[in-house]
Amino acid sequence: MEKVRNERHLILVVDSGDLFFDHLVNMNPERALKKARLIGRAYRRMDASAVNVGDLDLVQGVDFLRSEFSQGLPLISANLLDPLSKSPIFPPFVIREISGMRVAFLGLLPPESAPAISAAIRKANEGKILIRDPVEAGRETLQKLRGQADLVVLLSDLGLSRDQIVAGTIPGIHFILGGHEGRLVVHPTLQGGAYLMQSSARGMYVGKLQLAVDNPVFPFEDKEKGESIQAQMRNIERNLQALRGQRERQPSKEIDHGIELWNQRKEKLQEKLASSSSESPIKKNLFDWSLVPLEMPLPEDEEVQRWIGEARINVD
Amino acid sequence: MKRVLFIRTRNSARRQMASILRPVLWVSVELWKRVIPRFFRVALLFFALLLVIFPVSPRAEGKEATVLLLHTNNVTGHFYPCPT
Repeated sequence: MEKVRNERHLILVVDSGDLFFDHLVNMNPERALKKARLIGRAYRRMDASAVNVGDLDLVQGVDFLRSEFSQGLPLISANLLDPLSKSPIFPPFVIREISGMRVAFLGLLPPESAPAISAAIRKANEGKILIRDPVEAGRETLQKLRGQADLVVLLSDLGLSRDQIVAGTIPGIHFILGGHEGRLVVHPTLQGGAYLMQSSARGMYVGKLQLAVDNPVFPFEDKEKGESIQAQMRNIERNLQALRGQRERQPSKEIDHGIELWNQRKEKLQEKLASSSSESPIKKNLFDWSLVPLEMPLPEDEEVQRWIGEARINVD
Repeated sequence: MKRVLFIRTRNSARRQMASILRPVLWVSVELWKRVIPRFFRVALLFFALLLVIFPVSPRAEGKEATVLLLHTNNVTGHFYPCPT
């Protein structure tokens, strides 16, 4: 991060949620909180612009998050409410200005989680939180944002299927930087007017989204759109081959239907590929998405390393 | 028939313009020769040439803004990247 900052000076660091705690909801709470505090401190040191609250971030209670927020961690959530006042506990969005652009980040978390996690969240937050429907909360926040921002980025812990619903039903979002499942998304997909991406999990990668904005009113286009379509077509071809092999061994109507569906998708992608290679008169902004692996040889931040040593937590 | 008429009209307009411009051009060249000494004529031509090669106005630059976002998700309490 320091290297990128030194090269470019202007970057915005964001997290989509599930930052502090892992899935082991029964782990030693004292140790978990100690680690979580260090992570919060490290993100403050990185000067994070926005950190969305994920469902896993609530397993040790919302009071921990309130304390992090009061120390300067820019936590956001549009649908995590105080049950008494029915108002958001953290700001629903933040607006950061960079290169003369006003970039708005809003955050959403899922109303339900896996049973064990939901139980842990309920136990740790009895009467302290209310999670509102993300689509409703997202739509309301977008209305509030109107005219205040040039770009809108949703930091989502909803998971891909819910992200697709949000992108399809709430206009005005440019990018959805998602999470919850921790997918490794090499080629972002376009849904509604928004591009969807995730940056893997467990700190293995950092997603790097570079935008070249000519005019925020123009639609965005993936710089590597052609390559992305070809990669999708290769996947479809692999699926088709598998289904054809299955049909030869054991023919059935379901397999025929599956082959038909994949062929339809392939045709659509071929059309897309043809249109992407021809010059379009519509003006566009370009974006470039890449995943940077955080490999072990990368130098550690000495200060953060010292904090970890002092806390005597050297093992994950 | 229409086409022939059109060409004729264009030719006559061109001829009319040339008849106006020719004396103006002649007067300008004569003035240039008589009023400006030979040394300054060369200097002025050289200066005009420099203006063509290195225009005074800056070259047009794109107003494109670059925004760089670094994103993480599902870190789930890991200090160090998971080796898997």
